[in-house]
Amino acid sequence: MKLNKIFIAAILGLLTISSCSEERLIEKPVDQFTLDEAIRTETDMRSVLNGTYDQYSSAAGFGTDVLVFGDLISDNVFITAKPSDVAYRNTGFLNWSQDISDFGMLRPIYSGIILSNIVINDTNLPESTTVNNYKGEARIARAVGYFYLLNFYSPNPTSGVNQEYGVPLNLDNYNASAKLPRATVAEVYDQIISDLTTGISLMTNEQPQNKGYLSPTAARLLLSRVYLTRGKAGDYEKAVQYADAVINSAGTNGFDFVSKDDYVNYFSSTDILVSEDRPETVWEINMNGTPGENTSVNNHLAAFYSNTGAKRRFLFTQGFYSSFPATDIRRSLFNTGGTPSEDEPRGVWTKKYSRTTSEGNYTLNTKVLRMSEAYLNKIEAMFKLGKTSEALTQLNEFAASRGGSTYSSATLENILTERRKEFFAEGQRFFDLKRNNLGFHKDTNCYSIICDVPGDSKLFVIPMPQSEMNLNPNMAQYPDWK
Amino acid sequence: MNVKLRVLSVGVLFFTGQALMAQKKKSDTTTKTKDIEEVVLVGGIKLDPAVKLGSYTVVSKANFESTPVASVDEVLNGRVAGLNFSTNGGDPGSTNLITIRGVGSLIGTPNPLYVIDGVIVGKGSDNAQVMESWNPLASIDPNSIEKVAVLKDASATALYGARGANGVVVITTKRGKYNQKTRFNLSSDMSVQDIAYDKQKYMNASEYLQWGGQMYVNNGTYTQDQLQDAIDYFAQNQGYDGHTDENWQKAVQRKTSIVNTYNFSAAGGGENTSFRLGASYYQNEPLILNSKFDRVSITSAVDHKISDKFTLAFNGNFTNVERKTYDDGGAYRNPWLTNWYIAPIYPVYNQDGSYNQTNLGDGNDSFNPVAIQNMDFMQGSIKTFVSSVNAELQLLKGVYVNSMFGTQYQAVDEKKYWDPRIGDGLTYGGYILQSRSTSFDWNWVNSVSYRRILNDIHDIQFYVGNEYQEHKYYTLGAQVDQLSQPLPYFAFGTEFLRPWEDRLKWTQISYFSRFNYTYDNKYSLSGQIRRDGNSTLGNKKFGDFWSIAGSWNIARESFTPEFFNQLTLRANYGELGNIPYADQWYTQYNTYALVSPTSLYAADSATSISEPGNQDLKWEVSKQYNLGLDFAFFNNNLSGSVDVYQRKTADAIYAFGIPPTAGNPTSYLANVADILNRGLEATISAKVIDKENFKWFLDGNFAYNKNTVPSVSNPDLIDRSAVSNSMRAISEGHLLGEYYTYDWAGVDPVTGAGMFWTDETHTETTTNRTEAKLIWQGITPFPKYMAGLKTEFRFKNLSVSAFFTGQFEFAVHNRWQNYTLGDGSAINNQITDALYDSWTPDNPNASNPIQLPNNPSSAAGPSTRWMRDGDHIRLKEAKISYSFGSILKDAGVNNLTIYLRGVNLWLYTFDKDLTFDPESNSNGAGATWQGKGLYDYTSPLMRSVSFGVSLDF
Repeated sequence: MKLNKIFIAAILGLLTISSCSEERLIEKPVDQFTLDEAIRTETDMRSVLNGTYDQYSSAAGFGTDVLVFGDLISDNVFITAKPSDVAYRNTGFLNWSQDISDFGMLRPIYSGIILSNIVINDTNLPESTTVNNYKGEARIARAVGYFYLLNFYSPNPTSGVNQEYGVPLNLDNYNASAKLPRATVAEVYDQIISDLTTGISLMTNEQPQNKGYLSPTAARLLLSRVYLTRGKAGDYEKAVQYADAVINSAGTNGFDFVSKDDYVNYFSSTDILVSEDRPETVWEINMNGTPGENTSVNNHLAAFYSNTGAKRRFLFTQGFYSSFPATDIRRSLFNTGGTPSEDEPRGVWTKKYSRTTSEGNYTLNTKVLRMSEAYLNKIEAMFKLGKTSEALTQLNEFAASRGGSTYSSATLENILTERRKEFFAEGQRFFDLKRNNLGFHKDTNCYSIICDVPGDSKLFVIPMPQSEMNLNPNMAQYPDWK
Repeated sequence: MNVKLRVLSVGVLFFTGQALMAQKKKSDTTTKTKDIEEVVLVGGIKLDPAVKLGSYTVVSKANFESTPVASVDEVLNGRVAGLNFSTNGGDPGSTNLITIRGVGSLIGTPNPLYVIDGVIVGKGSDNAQVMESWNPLASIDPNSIEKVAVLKDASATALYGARGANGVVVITTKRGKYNQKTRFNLSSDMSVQDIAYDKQKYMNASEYLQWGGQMYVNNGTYTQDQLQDAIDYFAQNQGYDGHTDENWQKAVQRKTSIVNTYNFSAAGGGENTSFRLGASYYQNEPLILNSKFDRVSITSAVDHKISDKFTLAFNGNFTNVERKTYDDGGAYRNPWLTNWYIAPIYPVYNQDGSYNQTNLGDGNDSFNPVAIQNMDFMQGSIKTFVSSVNAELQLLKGVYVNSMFGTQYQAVDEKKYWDPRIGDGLTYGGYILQSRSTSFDWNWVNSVSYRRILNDIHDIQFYVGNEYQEHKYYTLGAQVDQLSQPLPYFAFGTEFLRPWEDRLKWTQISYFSRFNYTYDNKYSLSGQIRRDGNSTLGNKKFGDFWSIAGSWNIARESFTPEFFNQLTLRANYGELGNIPYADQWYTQYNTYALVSPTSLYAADSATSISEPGNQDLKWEVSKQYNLGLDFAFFNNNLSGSVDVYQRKTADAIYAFGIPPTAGNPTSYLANVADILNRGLEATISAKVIDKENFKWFLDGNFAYNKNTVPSVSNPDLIDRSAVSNSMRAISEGHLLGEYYTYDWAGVDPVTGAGMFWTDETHTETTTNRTEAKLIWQGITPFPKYMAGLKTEFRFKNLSVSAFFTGQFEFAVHNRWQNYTLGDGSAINNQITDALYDSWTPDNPNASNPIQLPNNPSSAAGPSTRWMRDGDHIRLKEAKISYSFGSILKDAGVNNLTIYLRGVNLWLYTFDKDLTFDPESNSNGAGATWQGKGLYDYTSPLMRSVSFGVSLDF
């Protein structure tokens, strides 16, 4: 009996205790912070800003795809006819739709933009010099994102058509329920220009930690291209002005033009001290050997471009290669050996992307913006301003600096040809053609379903993907892709 | 080549102990029902067959004993009406996908909850960090099982509250008996296994070259007369050495695969104490080289009567599993992909005997699968300790107090090694990853009950109780690369990569009460209310749920003819809370908007948004109706049951997609949809012949279920499964997981081009898939109809039985068909249809289009061309056994049984084009419904033949 009573008391006691407090249901993670606590110190702000680059650096973003599409949707690169891996088939065959495509840059670029928004909109931290520099850099990063998005998903401003089909302007802090409609092309350009100019004024620090980060120089370079693309009254003058600013800043703060002697090594050296974080580079995507911090064997540009790449398939035509005279230093960035025999005529590899560097395989930083672009932006702008003789002089100066063939007249075609020779494999050709409302023609090695693409082709505007159309009722699909 | 690093696919083994089974103390009231042993659930609450209220099926131990299975859930396949089983990998220890009455949730595992001796051990969902798929139920030895009850509707599952909404599988293990001399059992089993069903024919070297040559004739490079020249051209371009004809799939396999099992147990008891001790060793050498699965387990159960009114019970089980396995799915190192990813013209070894690493075909350099199987490995060692203590005290007449404390501790030790000389290891100079994860779950249930039988007529039971459970998961991992020597130990790493640590926790508080009232064993009424609160929900953490059930034992009525041995009508309705992701780790903090400051941009730390958050996340509620009839006549020689049910999940939780223009992450959890399951189940058992020396028994079951999504918060939403090439989607008004893809219109007999219908009206076709519309197909990967039939003959001591299962009205497809039948877009090995059944001018009526090198047409992409009818009939098991009975009694042997048993012996498919196993799933989405019917070369289901002996003495 005694035992029983003790037991009873114990049980009832336990029952009382175990009617536990609901405090026990509050559990929080140990290694993540709530969104409103994302920025408490300046270090936190830097980390969020780095998050923008982290998002941009994904393979679907600037890590690989942005550069790939810039060359694949053009007369530059063809995918070998030798049967191989299915990557980029849709783009290579110039056959895609809203649902079936290789384009995945929408999400990573917006992800980067939103993290920049968090930095720009922050009100927690007092505006010290450091904070202002960070906010300025965030603005520049955001503008980079919007500029590339606009160039992919919207029509060219000087085409005069469908200008209401810009990209959504997401300028607020993170909101998972955001279902934004498109802004007009003009509105987005205004935002880009505003962000770049504000960014330049906020950033007192001209020298970035390394070239994986944006800087006022990057903003100026981009502004020259932005104005060149938009082409409103007064824009070409500004394009020249900003291009000059970049050209005149060469030799300071770690920025300078690459010389002819260093040119080949700047691209293809396996020593990262020679090919990464160099003065010529204005912005590149940082990568290293840590798993997850490089686009790796499946997605790195070297996997597709290098003649030892695991998925080597991107080739240039014999015609393009022969357009470089023997004196042109850029001819040394081609490799004719070991090309697949299924191509008729055979293609030519490029040596701009080395598979192996001192950091490992498939870890080479991706160069997005280079100093030399300033010259070419300026030349094209001057041509559009009617200053053809000045443009010609500068064009031939530039060509001579590479040992290339010079031109007898400054036509748009010649200017773009020189640009094509300078920036092949760097993702610029598609934008060059689109900016000028020009089409392209694949005269040899055409395996796509069409070989002649006119300037007003729908292929120049990327359709909003099925996932966006399904989840965002406010998104309007571009008319040609409906 | 996928660089597969730390796999964050996880589940967890939860432990929420509830009451243990108490010894049977009162004798059963006598009825003319069949002898079904009662099943005990929670807090001493029993499922008494005499007052059967709910829909449940009991699977007897005969099905589990002497069964060479790696995990117990495999045995349920086909034996329970309404239960659909498929596997995420035939590799032993892989998780399985089981649905009872359809899929009730959009995320998480659809599996039912497993309860072992009152201890809740989770849903068999994935617990591994590194290994592809690890089924926690694989730690349990099937030989120690006494019986399994599968609870299907609200009245029974309501007792398990939050996690019972998909059904509950209650496993009772063997215990000792009081006052019994100790009995021993020794048994052993050996089985040989190979692939159950794989009729895919891959090309040999000459077929492959001929196919390649034909492609260059098709594209005009050569004429048909010059076919041999075309073949030579192709052969030279592909690097053919002139004589190799390699069967790569055979090269990565062992000659035979063998499973050995040894069991020992002892059970007995004295007046106040009884015990059972068991030990078993299970050793499985699967088909793929160097893979293995070894399990040692020790089980113990002790019951002790302190007094007539006070009993204690203890269970303790320990298991150690050693497993060596491999990547699956789309990883290039998946050995099952070697069927096709390496063409047969490349040899495994070079002339000098070294591995061929350079001539393996485009893109395959250094990925020799045989080398990878021999030199790289992925292994795990899992130790599980499950234990519970239960006490029941009778305070006063009819008043009982029950308390149970249960705990589970599982330690998973995984290691992955990439040799620096080959494959992925080349990129990193070798790589080693080790991860140690432990999960610790405990819970405590207390209840008070009042049980009385008044006047011999009124049987009243009333329970009230509460429960607290806590689950923790801790993982620690480290990785190194750039190894100085090709040896799999950290000591040889020269570059140290980022380690990781995760600590996760979730908790739940519940209050429950239940009453049962039975009048004269004829009429029963039962009801329960419960209140549960879970830490992973938002502002509203608590939910209130209830259920009510009634049954009428018509057979006991005076007006019922004697003819009916049993006739019971039952009905119930219940609303149960459910959290579909509760059994997986890394889903504990969904309600907060979170950032992760530990991402990286190359070497610099970066912050990313890791969780959008949703403070409105609340319980999804499963509302279930069930109406059933149990009957038996002809002296119980014919019996069965019929159930009609509806299971509706309101406010189903789903990973609601976030559009790309709102950035990462890609989704957040929200209560967004309703899911409906409606169906019918029937079972029938017949003792066709029941004589002394000859018996013939038949058992059958049949089920029909229709699973739809009647409403979604955004009615225009079409949420397509994120698993690539899976072709299924969720949308309002459609079947759950309905196929949504392009309609294949066949091959144009004039041009050989593949055609698609432009839309569902089927009026126009196009040869460009990008111009076609996506169309709903009205079929899902879950079968609408399922059936099982077992026939058993017993002649004196000899027993012969066969068990068939069938599944009908569902579709499956091969996730990588664009590689195996790519029409020339891919140059790896193809199935022979590409050669024998593809369009050429001489073969204009072929079912596959013209094969062209580097084919620009997208006809090989996902469409109805890939879909196959999954309808099939399978001979699941056949067994011959002979029991010596008491012949050897003098030698001290109570019984000796020997048997020959075959599993998955034969499969009949109604669709002649179905060449892969329709019961195979993908792990591409973890263990969720999204992998069902998606064949992506996970390890195949096995067919086995085994011989075994069981000795009782």
